[in-house]
Amino acid sequence: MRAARFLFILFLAACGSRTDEVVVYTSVDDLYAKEIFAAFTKDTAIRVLPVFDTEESKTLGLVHRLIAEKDHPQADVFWSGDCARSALLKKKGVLEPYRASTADAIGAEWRDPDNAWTGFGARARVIVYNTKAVKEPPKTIAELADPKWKGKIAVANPLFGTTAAHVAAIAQTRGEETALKLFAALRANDVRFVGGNSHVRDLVARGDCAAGLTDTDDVWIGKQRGDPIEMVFPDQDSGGTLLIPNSAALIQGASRAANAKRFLDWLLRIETEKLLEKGPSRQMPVRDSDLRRLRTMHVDWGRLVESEALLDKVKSTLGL
Amino acid sequence: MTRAIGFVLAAPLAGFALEAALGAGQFQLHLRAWGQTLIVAGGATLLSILFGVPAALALAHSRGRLLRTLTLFPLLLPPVLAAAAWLGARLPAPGPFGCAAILGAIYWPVIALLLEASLRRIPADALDAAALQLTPVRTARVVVWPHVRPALGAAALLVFLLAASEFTVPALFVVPTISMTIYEQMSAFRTASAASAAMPLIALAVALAWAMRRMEMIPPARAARPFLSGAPLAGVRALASVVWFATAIAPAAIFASRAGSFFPTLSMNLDAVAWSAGIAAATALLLVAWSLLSTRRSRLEPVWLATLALPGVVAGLGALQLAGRTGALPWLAPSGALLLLALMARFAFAAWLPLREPVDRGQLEAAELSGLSAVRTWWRITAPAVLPRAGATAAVVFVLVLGEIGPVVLLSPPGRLTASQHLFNLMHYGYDGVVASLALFLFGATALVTWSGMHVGRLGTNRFA
Repeated sequence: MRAARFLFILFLAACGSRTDEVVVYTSVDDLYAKEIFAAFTKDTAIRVLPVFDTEESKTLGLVHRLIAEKDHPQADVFWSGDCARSALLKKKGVLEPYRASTADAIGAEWRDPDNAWTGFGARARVIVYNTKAVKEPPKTIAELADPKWKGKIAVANPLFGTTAAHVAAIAQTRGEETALKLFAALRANDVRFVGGNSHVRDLVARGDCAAGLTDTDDVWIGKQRGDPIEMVFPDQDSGGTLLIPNSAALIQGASRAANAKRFLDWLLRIETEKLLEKGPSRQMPVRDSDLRRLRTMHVDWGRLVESEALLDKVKSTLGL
Repeated sequence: MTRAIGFVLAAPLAGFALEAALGAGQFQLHLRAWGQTLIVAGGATLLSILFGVPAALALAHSRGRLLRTLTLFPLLLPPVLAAAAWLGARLPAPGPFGCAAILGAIYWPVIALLLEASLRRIPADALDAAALQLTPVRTARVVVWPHVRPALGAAALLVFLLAASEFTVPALFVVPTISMTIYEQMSAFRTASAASAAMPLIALAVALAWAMRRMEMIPPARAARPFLSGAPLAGVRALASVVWFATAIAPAAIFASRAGSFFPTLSMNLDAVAWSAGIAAATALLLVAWSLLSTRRSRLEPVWLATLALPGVVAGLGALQLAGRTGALPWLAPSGALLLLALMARFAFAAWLPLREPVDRGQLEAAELSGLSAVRTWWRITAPAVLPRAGATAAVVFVLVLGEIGPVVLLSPPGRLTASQHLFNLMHYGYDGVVASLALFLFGATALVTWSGMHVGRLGTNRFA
């Protein structure tokens, strides 16, 4: 009995949180997030205990977990690969407003108006094309519906991930009807809807498709392994390219709030953005002047997450 | 005690149902998704039968453990890896028929193992009598078929359920099956709609549990009375060899040829590998121990089977919601206890069924009449029958947990990552060598654990003999 009591106390002790730790839930791939965490620990001596999502669970994993844990938060920080998930969590009352002292130089377009989350290190939605097969790549997304590309274009399933965000962003900036018409035209042009953005890149790299719609990180990874691909930032003459920044947020009721704020201050520095830029995904610093030269879509991420009805329409339009 | 734990293991599905009941939402029929599901799961079932029947016949006529280990290999191959390989090889028809082909090539061992268990139980005297009077074809029709029909039917239904609830392959091939619909609805926080989509799967699981109520899952330790010989046996073995080669040996060889930096990869991911092995071992041991506590049938079997047959994320989400609502979350989540509970709930049926009713009731009644205590009855009668199965059952559960993703993402304690999770993330980056190394590790773990499981079983049998 004594032994059992001792083991129980030991178990409770093991469950208890330490003061030199911070729990970060992240939908960012563990491959390069781990490097960032190691750098933070080296700088601050605070250990990061991460919980990762996977591509396999699509968007179901961490967001559901954070909502379910709302009354008993286990996480201190949420670091997302996009802003939509953070905007959704704000709506569900999971986030606590926090303005990092190091994030003053980040423009208002990259942060939540109530400071529930802050954007940094962005990816972009781009047209990827095979350099051996295509000399004059399409410059706009609407061009992908041109008959000359019939059957040669690949797009990821628009019901999930960044493609879903892209559909919703087009609907928000150019109207729902335009977005639905665009995707119906793509369908009529025998666009191949495939499982994910990396699959789009692979089809284009192998020459099975001439071009496709994907994210910059997928293109950079392909280029690093020698794939014959290049990218175009679409719609520079009208509409603009969709940028998808990372976002970081403080969890409401976080038990290690002080460490969480230190982590956010550290993560949102320009140095961390530079670190992400050097990583395999080459994420673009949102403070960068080069990025300001790019024509981008101005998206209200808070409204973007209310797009279930739109995605239902996309689903029925495309027969998915 | 066993019943109380059984109720706990039924809790995640109850949690999911509760959320569905509480969440406002529209119940829909999802007819189109069911049409696609019928093609995918029906095709996978047909292919599984085509692959599984010759393999079962060959297994029933062999004594070696190598073949049974090879049979388990395809079950461990993450379906998404097979789908990625299909796309990489530019094979045609990556639509519903491609999905069916991949899932059939992965789930045929379910048919083979259940059918083998049934074949080994054909009464030898019936076969001897048939050999005197009947041609082999009539023997197959009059003696073998009536005996194995329930096992084949139940196995086919189980494959149908597993294929219908598989998500990764339809997601990669963009085939809108019912599992995709469940994910879509849950992504949009329409839990009630997700539950309505899942309801027919739950009904099928209940039907399957009824069909399996008296079925033996593990073959007896004794060899079967051979009923095939000459050309038919050679033909069956040749067909089975093709199946083993195509679905087990070839993938393992491909991974081995690509896994250039196997040991560096393993050492770099040692924490993920160790955590995966630890959580899988804990789940397997606890489930087997629980199943050994009582070997009687349970009314909760349909619930456990439904938890196994639905997408893994349902068990994870149900456990999470229930722990959140009861206030147990802060106690259970950080230690990994909640993950353990969800994994146990997910695979309870896989551990329970093989260890259920291992001895005839007549023997137990005879023991009771002769005045043996419950403990001595268990030690003298039940244990010798159940121990050989316990090792094999633990091995199967270990293997299933190693490849699991759904509850892991939702319930992993902070700072922990499983090898399967890591593998999926690496696939996104096209790091083929590392993916191959990790897949090879999973194959190796399956082989090692299966052999050990069977060896433990044999030791147990010898000791009691």
